[in-house]
Amino acid sequence: MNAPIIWIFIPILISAVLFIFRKRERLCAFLAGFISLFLATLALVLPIGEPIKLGTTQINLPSEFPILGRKFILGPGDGPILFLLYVIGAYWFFSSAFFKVRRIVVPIELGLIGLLVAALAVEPFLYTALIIEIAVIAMIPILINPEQIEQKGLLRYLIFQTLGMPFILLAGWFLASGEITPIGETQLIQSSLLLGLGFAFWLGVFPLYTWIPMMAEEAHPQVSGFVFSFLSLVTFLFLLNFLNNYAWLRDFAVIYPAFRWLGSIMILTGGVWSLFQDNVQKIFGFMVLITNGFLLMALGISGADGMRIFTNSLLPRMLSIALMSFSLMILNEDNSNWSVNSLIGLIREKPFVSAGIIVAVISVSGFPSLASFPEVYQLAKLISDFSPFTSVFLFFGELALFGTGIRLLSIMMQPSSNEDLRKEKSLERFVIISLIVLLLLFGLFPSFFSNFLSNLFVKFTFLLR
Amino acid sequence: MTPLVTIILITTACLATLMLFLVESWRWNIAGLAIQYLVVFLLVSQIWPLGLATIKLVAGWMACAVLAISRKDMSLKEPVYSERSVQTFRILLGVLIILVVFLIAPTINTWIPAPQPFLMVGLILTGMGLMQLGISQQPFKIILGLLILLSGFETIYSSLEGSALLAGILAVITLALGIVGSYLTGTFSEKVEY
Repeated sequence: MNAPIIWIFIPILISAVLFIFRKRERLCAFLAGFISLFLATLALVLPIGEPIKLGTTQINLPSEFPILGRKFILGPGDGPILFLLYVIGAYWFFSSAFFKVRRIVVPIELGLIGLLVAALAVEPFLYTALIIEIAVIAMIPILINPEQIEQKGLLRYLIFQTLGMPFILLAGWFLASGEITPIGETQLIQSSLLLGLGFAFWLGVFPLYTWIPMMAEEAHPQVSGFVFSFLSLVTFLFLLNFLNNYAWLRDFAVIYPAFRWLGSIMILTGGVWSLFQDNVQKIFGFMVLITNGFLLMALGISGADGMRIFTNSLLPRMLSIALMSFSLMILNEDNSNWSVNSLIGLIREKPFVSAGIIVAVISVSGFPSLASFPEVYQLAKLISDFSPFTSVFLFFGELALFGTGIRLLSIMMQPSSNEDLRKEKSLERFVIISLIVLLLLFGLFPSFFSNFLSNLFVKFTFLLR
Repeated sequence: MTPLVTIILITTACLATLMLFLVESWRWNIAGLAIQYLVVFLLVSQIWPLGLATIKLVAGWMACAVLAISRKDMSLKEPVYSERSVQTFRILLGVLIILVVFLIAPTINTWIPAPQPFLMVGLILTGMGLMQLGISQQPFKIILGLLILLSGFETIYSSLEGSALLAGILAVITLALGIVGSYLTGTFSEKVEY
């Protein structure tokens, strides 16, 4: 037994077993949830790579798993990341138990987490690109919405993600040759360009982000929430790996300003577009786009400050996506009309769902006392030293998203004669309140959580300097 | 590789991709894709061991077979866009891509030191794949576009990296795209399990 078997192959194996029993949806969801929680706990408790003493016996948990000349490596520094991935996974599995999602969703999602962990663990890390592509293709069956006649967003997602892979592989080939001979200025520009294009396709960097709102509009909120939570996170970690491993890439003068500019443009365009959307799910998509832009912008501040903002923004981002997605899942049970006008009077009929949607949106916009506020404030303060224009973009983008929240609130407060909607169940209320309280706690006591989060990326030693 | 063989392979790649680009019938599309994988195999077998190069052919043809199975129930009479303007536009576009590839290949060769035939065929396939993706809206055509594009990339990349594991994973991706294509376009999508 070794660490990659526990956190990569066992979840994939269990997902295959759950797929066989997929007709028992609730059982599958609970099993997947508990297994995820168990794996998350193991990630916290087990000292990876070190001997474990059980009384007189000693068990070794090696961190390497060799396969066909390559290795999957999960070292001691990976524990917090594994914990985070599996805890978030557990949330998505438990939440799917209470809603009507397709039977194949939970088994495939569990396997996907295993695949994404494999993507992070594989050495040489260029194979990550290939594993991410396999994960992207494996996501297609769950992203299909039987109620949609045509899914242009799904196809665009597949195209953009697939286009990213060749660029990353070619960039990797350039970078690998740089390990043997000193890399020239031209080679540096070429490899950075290829790398930039690859990550731009994967992360939905401006102007290649059209698939994000389109996919949010078409897919079930549980599935889109899951995909948005995990895919961008793993892609960002892969990007951090690149930056951490190649010193000359970190020292390349264009890299950090490019992150800042592209991130700020994503925030500005995402915020402005969200203001004019008539579809609630598309607003969700633009909200995700803004969080991605924010993370990219945080990476644009080199050194420990940027990494701290990046790390501390991850959980608030996840919580906002989880809250928005959960609220949309409740709405999805009643109707399939996602027009903003369908929210008229919602605050009287479903006050908790309304609160969930509004809090998720305004939290991402950096509203004081909510989770993203400390990091938005920190980023705005630091980024203004580097380039004032990007801080203006950040301000207006977040302001526009806040405007979207206020617009949604005003629509929800309008009187309505619709009394057909079912009331929220107590469990649904409990989940929404818990997520809102967590967002508030993050906003009010940021340093309390940042202690745990600071352990997440200890392995990126060069980036933390 | 003799110049004659190189010319034959490049010409076949051009014709196969043009066939994919111009003809609407799914049978001809699959045939074009299969020919294209054969060209890629013949090229890659020049520098890779035959067994390893065969992976590309087998995976490609399997993807073709999976896509064909999903279309087998389709009626024999398919909508054919025989308007002259559409066909002329597509022919011009295809020819333009081939011309652009011939023009930019020497410049790209300074970036990527791949042998000329690999670069030519790879770029033609990549360009045609991109164009297919750009002008198509049907899932079947989009999957074809992705497969063409990836096989073009694989042709170039195989001359740079000869790892067996890499070839295996790329073959898995090709096959998975074929399965997803059949899931999206064929009989599976008509009775998606809820």
